[in-house]
Amino acid sequence: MGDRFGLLTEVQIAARIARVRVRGQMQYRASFAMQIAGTFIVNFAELAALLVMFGRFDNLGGWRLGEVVFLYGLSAIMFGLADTAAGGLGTFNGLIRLGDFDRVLTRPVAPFLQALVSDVSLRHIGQMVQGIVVFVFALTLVDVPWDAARLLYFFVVIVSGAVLFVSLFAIEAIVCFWTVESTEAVNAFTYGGSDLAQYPLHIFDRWLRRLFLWVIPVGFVSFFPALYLLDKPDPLGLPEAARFAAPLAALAFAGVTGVLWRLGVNHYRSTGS
Amino acid sequence: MRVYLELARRSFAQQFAYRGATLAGLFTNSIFGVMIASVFLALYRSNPDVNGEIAGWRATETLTYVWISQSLLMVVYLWGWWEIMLSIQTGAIVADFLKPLDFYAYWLSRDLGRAAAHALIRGVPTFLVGALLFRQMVIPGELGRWLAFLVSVVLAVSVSFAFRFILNMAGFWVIDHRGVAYMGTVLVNFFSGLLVPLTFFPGWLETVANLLPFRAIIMIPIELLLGQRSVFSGIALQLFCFGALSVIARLLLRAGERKVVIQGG
Repeated sequence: MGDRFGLLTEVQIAARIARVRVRGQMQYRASFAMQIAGTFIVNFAELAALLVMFGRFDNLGGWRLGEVVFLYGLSAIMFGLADTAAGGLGTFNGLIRLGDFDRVLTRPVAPFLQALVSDVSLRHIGQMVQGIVVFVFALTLVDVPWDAARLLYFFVVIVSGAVLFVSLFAIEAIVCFWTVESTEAVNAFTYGGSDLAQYPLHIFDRWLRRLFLWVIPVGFVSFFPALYLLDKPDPLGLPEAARFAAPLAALAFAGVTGVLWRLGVNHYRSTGS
Repeated sequence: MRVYLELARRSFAQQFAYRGATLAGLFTNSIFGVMIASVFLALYRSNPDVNGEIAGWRATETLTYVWISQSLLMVVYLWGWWEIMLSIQTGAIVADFLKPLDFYAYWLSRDLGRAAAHALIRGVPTFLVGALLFRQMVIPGELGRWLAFLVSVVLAVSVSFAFRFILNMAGFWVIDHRGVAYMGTVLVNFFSGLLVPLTFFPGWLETVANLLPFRAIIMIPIELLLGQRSVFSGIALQLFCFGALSVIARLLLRAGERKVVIQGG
């Protein structure tokens, strides 16, 4: 990697690439609209499933329907945001397999930024909007003691959660530097993590809880913030500070991911002969 | 007939090439299985007023449902099969039309071969993981039930295939498959009973589910294994779904074939 611009310029270049890609997708208006509509409704099946379950049962580990839907909406918004921002990482495996990553390395913009914008899947915005709709629906079912601090922290949590899930998508991409075959295992943590984030954490066994708190801190960006926002007692007995750990957990995880990314890039040997 | 058996055999053998992907997939299925099982167990635990039984299902039976449905996931292959649609887009489908084979039977036999391989390398191991982790799960001892289950799974794959074939036929008329894919996924996920057992549905919604063919893909094999439905009614219903969907699939294929020929000029 030769001379590079400053970080700010690089971000600007990446943003411009992203804009071009978005404009390209907009050319096929009908197809684009259908994709957004599609991602919008796809998760409603899960919400319907939740409603069916609560038609039979009245609570889940002491949590009522409204509270569970609140948690579901919260995690759907952050996951949708992450999916929109990190679409390029989802196709990273093709970049490696075809040897196209060589080209990325010769350009004077940080490879990670280039990988991010190599495909911008604006259609995932539908997923985020769906999350917002679910969240608003939850607000009609449950009384949240909103105040300025809660409102502010809500946005911090959404951004922290998105950072965490983008990092997880990045890890799936990083695995590609070593193998392009076994990346499905990472789905257990990306999609598995977002699924787990929809349910109150204390209903899971200890090993699963530990995994999704201390290794992959999904619980710190969904369950614990939700305890604060809904003003609920903590069934796991962690210190009060756990409720506010979302940004810290996300930053720490993103930091580790950054180190892994660097290791991966250094390990990269092109597939070309 | 021998050609179709050979096609199935080759497609069967192909699946064994991806060892890393198989292990990775098994891991992912297992984590999801544990998560879903935990949610259901927690629901039973935190609602003592239901007396441990929902619509005739105790927690131990719901566990069987969770792990069988996770094990069937790769076998019935609900998501992401767009081979025919892609071959329509590239035009490679014309070569397939020229083969002296029945196009529908050609793809069906390949899919059955794939499903048999996935049953061995993905289905059985996933179920074993579940049975080891959740010892309280109901595992029927009657051989007859397992035989009925086996036949029912073959039919479930056939019904799922017919449905996927129909979705792929959209390729003759639309360029981008994603819209069709999302709609198909929503329908199948919800009405096959993959997310919640159909028996948990409120009456009116179960009626809707009964009018759709998707029950045949996940629920019926499980109901036969748990002995909650007569073997005759289950198999007959699956055969009916497969027949009806196949008729639709072939009609669409014929209409599409004509369209391709016109374009080819």
